[in-house]
Amino acid sequence: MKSDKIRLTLGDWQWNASVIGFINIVGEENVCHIEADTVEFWPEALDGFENKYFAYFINTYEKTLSWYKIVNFQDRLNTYEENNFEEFDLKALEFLNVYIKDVKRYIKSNSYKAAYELIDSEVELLSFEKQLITIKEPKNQQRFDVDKSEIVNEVKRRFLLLQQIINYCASSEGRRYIGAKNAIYNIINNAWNGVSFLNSQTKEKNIYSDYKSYFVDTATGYLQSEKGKYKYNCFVCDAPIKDMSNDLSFLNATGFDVARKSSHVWNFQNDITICPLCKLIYSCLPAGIIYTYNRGIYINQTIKLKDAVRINNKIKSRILRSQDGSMRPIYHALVSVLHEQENDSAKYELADVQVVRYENESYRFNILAKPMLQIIVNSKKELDSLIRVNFIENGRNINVYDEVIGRIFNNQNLFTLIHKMLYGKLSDASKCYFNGSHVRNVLIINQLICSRLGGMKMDNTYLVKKSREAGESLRNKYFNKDSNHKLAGICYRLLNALKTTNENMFMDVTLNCYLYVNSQVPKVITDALGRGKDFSTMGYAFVSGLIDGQDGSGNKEKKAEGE
Amino acid sequence: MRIKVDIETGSMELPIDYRRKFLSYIKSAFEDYNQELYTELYEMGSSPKSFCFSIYFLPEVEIGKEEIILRSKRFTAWFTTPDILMGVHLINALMARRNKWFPLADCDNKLRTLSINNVQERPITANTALFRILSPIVIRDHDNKEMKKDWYYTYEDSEFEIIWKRNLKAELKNKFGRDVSSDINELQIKPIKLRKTVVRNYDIYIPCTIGNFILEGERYLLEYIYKAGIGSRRSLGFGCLDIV
Repeated sequence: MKSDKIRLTLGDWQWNASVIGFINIVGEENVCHIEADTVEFWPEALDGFENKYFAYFINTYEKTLSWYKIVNFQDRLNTYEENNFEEFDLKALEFLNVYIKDVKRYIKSNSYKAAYELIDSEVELLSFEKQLITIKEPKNQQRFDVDKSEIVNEVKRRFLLLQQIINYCASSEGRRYIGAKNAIYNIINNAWNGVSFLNSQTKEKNIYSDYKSYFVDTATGYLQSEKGKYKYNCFVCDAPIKDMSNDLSFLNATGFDVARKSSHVWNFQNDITICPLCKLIYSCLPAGIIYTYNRGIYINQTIKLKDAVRINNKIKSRILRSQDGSMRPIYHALVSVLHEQENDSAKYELADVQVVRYENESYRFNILAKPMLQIIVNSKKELDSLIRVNFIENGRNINVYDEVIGRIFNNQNLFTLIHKMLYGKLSDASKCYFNGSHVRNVLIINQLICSRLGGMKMDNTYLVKKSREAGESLRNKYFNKDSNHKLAGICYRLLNALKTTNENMFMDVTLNCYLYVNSQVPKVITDALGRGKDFSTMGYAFVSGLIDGQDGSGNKEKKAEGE
Repeated sequence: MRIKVDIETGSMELPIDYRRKFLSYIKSAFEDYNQELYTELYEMGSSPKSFCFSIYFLPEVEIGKEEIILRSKRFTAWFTTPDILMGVHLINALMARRNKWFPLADCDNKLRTLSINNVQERPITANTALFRILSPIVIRDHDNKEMKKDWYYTYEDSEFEIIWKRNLKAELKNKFGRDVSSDINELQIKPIKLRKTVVRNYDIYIPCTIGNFILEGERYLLEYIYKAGIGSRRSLGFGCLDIV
């Protein structure tokens, strides 16, 4: 017997994330857990659902929205006016100009324009945009001080305009519509697209009523309908449905156009259709996944729904807390939750749990196997040092922390990453925001990964440390011989040898180097020969020692001495 | 891997049995450098060593019956090894002796290593190679069972090739991860100015072969022979080859 209550049970990850998104939107107090993986709620929870839906996104992601960037200026504005522009200096003016440019850009964007039509106000924001122009910046602070009174007058005029813009945006209607528009194009469209308010040809301009009519009303209408004669069944919940009109193709990277690609289903007869209620739940997917910029993460803990909500909320709060303007790696939140667990009695609670990531407009999946968690827990110190480590490769910014964690999750070693880092450092050090100690830490983590995969016995820090020292001492010898210009070429050759794990080539080059400086090849190198991963670790650590501080101060001093 | 070591002698006279003396120099260098390696190489019975060497006396030099007069007081030792680690050890061991005089055992002479160079090897690109013998080739048939006697063959003997190939098969038994005996059988020596010579070594007169020859066969075998040397007693200063 089915009660009037609606029951949701966990299933695959996308459904789970949607269910959790739904719980997030209606609030946990409005659902009741009846089994570990099942919740129930009254249909009344769907009353005014469209408002709750957008309110959730606006509240959760408030600080990341462009709307917030506009209204957040109010505090500064007040401070300057309160102390009569005493502290207003050139820097503040530059900041103001940047802000003005941003505001102009935002308020004339199409999504804002669409929102103005919904806001019941007489103010014409677009007319302000034309009046709002940046203020000419003096060359330096002295000039600024001379012309300060004039500039302040200009600023005051701008502030009048800005105050009106801020008032407009900060009004409850402004927040409701502009915030919702922001949420749609920054958050929601990461999960689904092409229908309701995200359908570019939609006739309904009000996004709230559009959502209500497309998702909520059809769902409530379906709930009240007489289903006795329905002959099809929902693909997700098996409830009887009337026709095959609802498919999954509105979800990003999911489903397909059943009308055009019937060969995807058996016998060309599509059976993948869902009931309107499931569609409503699926529309909550963006509330279940946690997004920062264009990337998302969801922890698919499937055993207990409560745990799933808790763990995802924990990650959410961490991600959003750390998001005060700076772009923090998405993994960092996950890893810090993992580290937190270390102290719990349930140490590896998340072991064998699926992690779903949304990156580059596709979903990626990993299982958090216990050995991976152990690597992450054991290398906390090294990992923490990598949080802000970046380098640019082919114009793309690569965050080393994310790369390392991503590789750990994929059971890959880090040699190619280390190679890239060293290669980048050699070819253009200005694009590499790291130093030798970071490479060392990556090597140590890599050593840990390799030892988990088997076949390594050596103490991981010892090998890295000794090899780096060997590289550094060789480097010093080259400096003493005034042959430091040869180092870059040598490093390239060594890296090429390491990339193909060509021991002979590597030894050939190192031997010639040591013969050139008339010294013995260190024991750490000969010991690592013929030992696969150890050899690579030694090699990369050696090269990192050889490149390290190529333009560091210590070497400059030496250069000066040599000249 | 090919290592060229320039060495200076204290006086002009060198014993005719100079290989033995030079070996003792290398052994003591190994002993000073790495005791473990020394034990492994020289104190574990007759273990095969993966290097060979030859000595080239810089002119002017007079070779007599009992001794060698080396007027230049200079000679070059060429080491070759297929094992890069061995090469590194060799270089390290000799590096420690650079520019220092060390007495030569049981004779009134001393040696000083001047410079050590890693020489580029020549690539073998075809199935034939013209080799020059840098130090005489020793082909030895060791009678293990009864008389414990050694028989040495030179190119003039009909057993030369048979015994060489038999020894090579034994040597390469587990080297390439597969049975290479058929490839070894296919190897063909074409002599160019090969001749017999007799070398005194540890008070034994060993008949051996010097000159040039062309070797035809699988490339990997040619490469191995080029790097490891040919025949027996290689780590004693025999069987070192170069490509012409």
